[in-house]
Amino acid sequence: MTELNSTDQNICNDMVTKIAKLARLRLTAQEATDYQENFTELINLFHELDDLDMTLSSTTNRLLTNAQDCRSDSPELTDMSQLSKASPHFNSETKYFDVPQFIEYDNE
Amino acid sequence: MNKPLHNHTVQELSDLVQSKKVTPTELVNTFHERIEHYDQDINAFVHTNKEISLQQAKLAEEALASGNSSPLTGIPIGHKDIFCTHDMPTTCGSKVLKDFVATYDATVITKSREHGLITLGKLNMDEFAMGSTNQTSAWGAVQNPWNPEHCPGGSSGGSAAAVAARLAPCATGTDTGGSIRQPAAFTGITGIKPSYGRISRYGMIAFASSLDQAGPMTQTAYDAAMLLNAMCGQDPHDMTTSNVPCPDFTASISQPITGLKIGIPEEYFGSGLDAECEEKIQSAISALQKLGAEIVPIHLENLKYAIPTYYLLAPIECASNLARFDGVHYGYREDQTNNIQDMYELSRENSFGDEVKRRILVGTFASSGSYSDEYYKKALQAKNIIRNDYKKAFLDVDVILTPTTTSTAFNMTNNIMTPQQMYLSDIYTVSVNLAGLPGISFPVGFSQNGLPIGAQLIGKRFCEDTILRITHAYQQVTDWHTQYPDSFK
Repeated sequence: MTELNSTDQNICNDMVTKIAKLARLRLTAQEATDYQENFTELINLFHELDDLDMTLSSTTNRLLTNAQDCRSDSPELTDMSQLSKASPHFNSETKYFDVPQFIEYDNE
Repeated sequence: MNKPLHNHTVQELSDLVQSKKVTPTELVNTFHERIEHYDQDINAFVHTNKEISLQQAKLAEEALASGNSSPLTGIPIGHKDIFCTHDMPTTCGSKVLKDFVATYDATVITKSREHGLITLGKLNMDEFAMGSTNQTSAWGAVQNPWNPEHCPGGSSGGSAAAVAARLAPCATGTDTGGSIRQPAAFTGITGIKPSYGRISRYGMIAFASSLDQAGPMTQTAYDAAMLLNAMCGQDPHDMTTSNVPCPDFTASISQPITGLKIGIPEEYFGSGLDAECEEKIQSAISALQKLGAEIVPIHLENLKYAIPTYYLLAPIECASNLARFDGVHYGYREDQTNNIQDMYELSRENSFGDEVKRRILVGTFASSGSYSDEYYKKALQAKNIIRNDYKKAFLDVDVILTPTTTSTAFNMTNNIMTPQQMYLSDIYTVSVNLAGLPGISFPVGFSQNGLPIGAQLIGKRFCEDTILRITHAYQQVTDWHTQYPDSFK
């Protein structure tokens, strides 16, 4: 890991919106500013790991390499009515799903 | 009975119920009355249902009459609102799951009912278990029963506050980076995070799946042992549960601790630790020494890397786990949108709180594209280094004793901590989750302003019995665990 330079910091500023898109979040302008400040602090914290000698340490989990390079990650649904048809339990008045009980319990 | 019913331990209540001096219905009435009277002061419960409690009390009485009871039959319990229940809402402290009722029970709930425990209700928590103060709950903050200006800790703050205020004799919690042990320390109760794999996570809403673990929160170590007997065990619904046999945790708890080696890591003391906390921990160390334990100075030199490691791995897993809350299958949907991308984004934006969004963003960043190698892979390697530190330490000692927290409970009326400052306060607890080890927090005294202080014992993997035994021995010669706030008497 190399220390972030000023260019990286700028990328980080721009990246908050891009990351939010990836995370399927729509941030307000104020949120984007707040989170950008948190990001800068946290990235500096994460870089403390640079001091560790990792040469003899393996990872505990197998990583999928380049998994995200395989898809564009942009959902498409041209007819929104399809979503309603696929969600018969969605209640548009409450904006929540009504979940049906389908397991019967002995003590009821 | 020379003390009020609500101030009995689980062990004492069990004796009363088994000897038919008290009925489960009486216990349900006692604790529901207390919840009705006192919960408005601390906001520990998010949902109660006396009717369901009374139905379960009836079943408990039938089991007692037919001789099919367990030591926990008829004992009331509060469950953290992270465990799915088919007959009560499960919200995980989030607006995204407002009024959500699961179609099944979590294994912890099923086992609890099989052992005759009676559900009083669901307990408040930080949203999706992300927080150290209980301020992030969508249903309002929980107050510390010892002083309402202070938080009870988090994320199992509702569970801790309820047990501390004697609104429930015991509760369930979950611990991803200290969420059982830190609130236990802040409220003067006993809380144990078992080894990863001891208790099923089936039906426990996921935050960081490789670190999450359920556990009991009680007044005493003995009570925790009784609860663990009911909660532990391999579960075919959770492939991460271990097949290591579960002992009867109460069987060896009264054995002397003579000769046990307690490691004291230098890195946990000194700079950053509140002086009053250090003084009380040192007194506890002296008490254990008098009980026959051998004190051994040790080093856990990579402790300082636990925070960046944890705050990379946990958000990365959280970003993945919380991707399911997208308005498509269940939970909250923002439906007045023109396309599905808007629906996803607005549903999540309008239902997640700030801390959850912050962690999703950090996790998405650190696991995306080339950053995965730069951050995620490095954090996984660091996790292994921290685990090896513990392995090395446990060659020389049986358990490790540390402070649970750097200070007493945070004052929330003048709290201006940044997220990073808040994260740093988890320094003594997160490494235990990274290493998958069991850890228990127990009360060792009070600060001058009357707030509880906790100590933490860390055990070898699957050696919960040892840390319970030492805590129990300590609780036989001290009375910190018997104290509860005057305003709840």
